[in-house]
Amino acid sequence: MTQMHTHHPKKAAAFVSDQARTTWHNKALWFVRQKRDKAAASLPEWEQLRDTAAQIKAHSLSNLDEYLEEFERNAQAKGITIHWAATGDEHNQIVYDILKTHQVREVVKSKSMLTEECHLNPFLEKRGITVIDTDLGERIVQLRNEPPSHIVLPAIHVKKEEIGELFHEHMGTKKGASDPKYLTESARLDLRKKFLDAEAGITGVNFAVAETGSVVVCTNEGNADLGTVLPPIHIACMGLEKIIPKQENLGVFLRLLARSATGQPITTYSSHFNGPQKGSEMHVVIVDNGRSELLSRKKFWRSLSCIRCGACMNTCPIYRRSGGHSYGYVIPGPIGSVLAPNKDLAAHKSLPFASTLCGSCTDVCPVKIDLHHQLLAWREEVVKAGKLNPGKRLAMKLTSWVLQSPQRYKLAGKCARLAMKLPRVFLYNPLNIWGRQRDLPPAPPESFQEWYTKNRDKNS
Amino acid sequence: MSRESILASVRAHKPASIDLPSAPTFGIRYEDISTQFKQAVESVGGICTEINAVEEIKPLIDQHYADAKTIFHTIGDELPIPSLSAREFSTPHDGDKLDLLITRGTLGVAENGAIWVEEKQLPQRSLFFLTQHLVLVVKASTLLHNLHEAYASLGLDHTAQPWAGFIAGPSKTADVEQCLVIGAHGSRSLLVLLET
Ligand code: SF4
Repeated sequence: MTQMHTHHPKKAAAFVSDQARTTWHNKALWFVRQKRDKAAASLPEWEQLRDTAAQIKAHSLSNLDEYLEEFERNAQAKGITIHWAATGDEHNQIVYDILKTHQVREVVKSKSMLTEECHLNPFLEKRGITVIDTDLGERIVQLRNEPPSHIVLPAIHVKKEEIGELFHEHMGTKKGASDPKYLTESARLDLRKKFLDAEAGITGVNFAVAETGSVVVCTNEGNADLGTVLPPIHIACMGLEKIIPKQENLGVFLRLLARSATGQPITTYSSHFNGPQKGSEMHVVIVDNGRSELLSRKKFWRSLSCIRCGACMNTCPIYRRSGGHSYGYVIPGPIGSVLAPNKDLAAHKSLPFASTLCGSCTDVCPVKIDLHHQLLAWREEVVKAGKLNPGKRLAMKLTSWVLQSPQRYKLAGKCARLAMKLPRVFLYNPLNIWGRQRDLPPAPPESFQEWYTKNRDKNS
Repeated sequence: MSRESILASVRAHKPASIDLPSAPTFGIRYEDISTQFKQAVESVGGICTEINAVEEIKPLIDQHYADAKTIFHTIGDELPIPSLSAREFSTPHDGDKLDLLITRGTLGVAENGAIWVEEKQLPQRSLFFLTQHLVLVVKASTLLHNLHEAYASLGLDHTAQPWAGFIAGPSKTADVEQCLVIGAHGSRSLLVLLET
């Protein structure tokens, strides 16, 4: 496990140093982004859907206590046991206690970013319980002893040859094999046995419906379904923000989720868990872990609307080129960079700066979280808390002084265009952090303002 | 207990109440709903064939699943394919021996090819996921344009059973280098028979 602390530029530098891999990673994610665009364009009502989703989430969050209680009542009426955890540790302890009561030694888990956030796997493993991640991507990173680098595509940073090597070691696949079909089939056979032997199944929750007490889980692989139907115990772990008021709201969210995530019109399985099977138990653990406090932060509470589709990372130019691990937080990309500072501003102070503020994340977010505004607002918080590093502090002071006066701005532009013509050594010296992995384009002969003044009369 | 402290914290911190928007009336509608549904099923990795009567099912099964040995179906006597007895599935694990499951879907959704199925139609719901191959028979008259219509039509009755859900296509993954592979943990194929 990587430690929960970051200096993004440092970690990104390591990733970027392998240029071929950076290019490949960038392209793979851009391809997913393009699929998302096509899926969004196939629905004329896409923007209305996003507006509606944003409003439903805002409504749910602003009435969250009532919906949580309603959910609890309805779930209990269906025979589901509800647990409440204020912290990640409490969550882990609750899950462990359930497993211990039933003397469970091996548990299958489907994708859940919450259990990653709480570090459930190491907690259980320390206590003698084997956890098997069953989503193929999560299985890959688990065997590599790494956290996921993406919330929907956990192993997006890994090459198929590396997976071949890994499976050879752990599942005895042919040495040197890297055919995705062969590797997937091998994992299917290996995990099928584990599903059949599992004594308990843990899942995340995509949506918890207050009016019915049901939880909805969406997967393509069918692992959440196998992992809950075979063992006699199902434990579903959810952050308290997963609540939506009504079943009909699912229509809005399921239409947005897979289209935004991978460009599919819907995931293969959209499972509605309404209660335990005959002879089985179903538990839902509702986790706070800092979320309720976030509700009071005017600039930031809407980040709790996130449905974890991953679209903001696929589109982010920084994420695509620096990889998920460079963020050093359980959730990478723009949404991770606005969530992490809530947990620990000092530890994650570099994340709000891991952005060009281009706004692409905000444009694709299906629940319309104002991600790039929040990133900017976090920068202000970092500055206010006096946590900015000296180089950046100076640069920002200078920038603000320049931007405050049109004269200074014009002069600065002229100087910059001149400076760009200087020999490289003046520009690419150790003091210039920005220039480390970048090359400047040739300087234009005149500024836009100069060009505009000259040309405005011609065109009118 | 954490329950009280969490709820108290939510109450203390939550923003001022924002209204719940009314149910969407903007869902997409298609001129030719069957054609759209067929295309959607194919776009999620399934195969969709129109049939006019139950008699047409057997030849299609023979064609697509010649190798299937263990078959369970819920279509009834009209389908002259020998089915394992429901008694063979007394535990969820018993589904692991299944090559082919043929059953009906309650409704189909044209925008995404999703088909609604419920636990109660099978001796074990595990069969949906353990079977190697899955055939879903859907009446064309049950097709709806979009998910909003689907949820409005489903209502809440299904929540009286432990599980119900949408299935759209066969199980799949792209976790090895974003290369789509059909047949992850669930069924390796999905054949949809659209009964007109
Ligand atoms: S912030 Fe928006 S775009 Fe990013 S993962 Fe969450 S819902 Fe998706």
